Amino acid sequence: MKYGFFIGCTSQNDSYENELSSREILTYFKIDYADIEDQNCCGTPIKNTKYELWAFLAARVHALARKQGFDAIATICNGCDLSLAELEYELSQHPDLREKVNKALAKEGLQYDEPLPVRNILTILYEDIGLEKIKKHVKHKLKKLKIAAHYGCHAIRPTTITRPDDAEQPTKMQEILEVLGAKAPTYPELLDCCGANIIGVNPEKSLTAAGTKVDIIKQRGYNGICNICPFCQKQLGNSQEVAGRMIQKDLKIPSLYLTQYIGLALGLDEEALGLQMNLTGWKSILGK
Amino acid sequence: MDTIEYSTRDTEIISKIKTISEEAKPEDCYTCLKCTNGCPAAKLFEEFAPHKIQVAAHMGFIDELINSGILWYCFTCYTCQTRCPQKTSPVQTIMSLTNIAVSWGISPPKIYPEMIKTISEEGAILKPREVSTIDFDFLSRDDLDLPERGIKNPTQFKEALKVVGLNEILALKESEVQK
Ligand code: SF4
Ligand code: SF4
Repeated sequence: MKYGFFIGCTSQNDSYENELSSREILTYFKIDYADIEDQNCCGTPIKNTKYELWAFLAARVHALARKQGFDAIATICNGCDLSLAELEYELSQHPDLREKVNKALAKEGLQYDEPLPVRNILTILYEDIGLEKIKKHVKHKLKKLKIAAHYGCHAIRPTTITRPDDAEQPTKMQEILEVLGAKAPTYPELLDCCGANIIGVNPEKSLTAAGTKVDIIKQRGYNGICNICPFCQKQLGNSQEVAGRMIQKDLKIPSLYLTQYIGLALGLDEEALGLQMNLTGWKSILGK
Repeated sequence: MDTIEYSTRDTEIISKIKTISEEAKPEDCYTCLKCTNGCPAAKLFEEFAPHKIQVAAHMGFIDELINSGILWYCFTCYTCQTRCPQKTSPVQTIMSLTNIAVSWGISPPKIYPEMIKTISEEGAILKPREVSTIDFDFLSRDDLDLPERGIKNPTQFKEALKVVGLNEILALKESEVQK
């Protein structure tokens, strides 16, 4: 199965460490993938203003991936993943929308007939690669670490669409962290939202939500946070300082992508994993 | 308490919402408050409560909701939809109402037209940035040997976007800037 790699706006324009570490891990485990050429925004960020525009953008990604001969789409952002996964569900309810989308696509010589399977990086890690294989390749166990998993809302909800993990009791990220040698127990705030969706509308409240979650994670004695989505990672990671100011707390705690934790455990090059761009620091993860 | 002004009632709103979302179903809400109790936006904004949005939409009192701007505070976390015992979806009602407001010519928060303009020019909501490392070096895609990105034929792409309402949104931005 050949994956069309869909990067998404955030990773390709500022969360480079997500793109870098995802490519590293996919390549390391010999997942057959290549970039979807000419790719555009998945549509999610503007869905609540113009539904038709969202549907067109999501359909364009599917149309491109199909035209370029891929068998499935690989995503590295929960927002993109949901957008591309829910498109067909929405179009099947709105035949007029399907028609309009195809009218727009025709302007570029494209056409949307049926969707390709859409697979989140978490699904690829858990199902395509699998716990056993990851475990076999671990060189440096992430010992003495207690990591707080953060799945991100769109990786587990809504339940009307197949999502990478369970809506109320997700476990896959934690299972992966455990084969790396870390502890990743669940906690009451596991499912709390990072607040990213309103960062452009009301940054204070958005970062208050993020800060509150980071603070409770620290209080519960975790020494790292794990994300799979660049929106969540920005909120809970690189924005920690500002988020801390919103709730008058000092919040510093390493926050990394799951692919970066895996990369560290495999002994991959730190810069190749983009760790220099994790402003929360990461050396304590290796006990340095 | 103010009396209800019935003349502002929009009795068509449920069918308008239905054309956007089949799942919203404000008419099926029995105000159990399960949605609001788990809603992260309700914790941060006193005036925000998904069950009240369902009821207001059901009754057709949406002018005030739309004009207050609170619909834009939703985190789109889908907790309400997941937990609603009546299988209704406050988040879908909210999303439908913001779409309806925009179709009426009401400007969304300015971040939205900005993102849409950038999509029409770059294909993405952001332009590529130079990002800081922990040692305050600044890195671009190029520095990191990441492949070049972007829309191959921006003119054609814009033509396609126009079919799905690009110009209507960009016109809203102008009207907001003039304010
Ligand atoms: S959970 Fe459902 S039924 Fe209960 S108040 Fe919310 S929308 Fe209404
Ligand atoms: S989707 Fe919106 S309304 Fe529903 S629980 Fe989340 S923030 Fe509240």
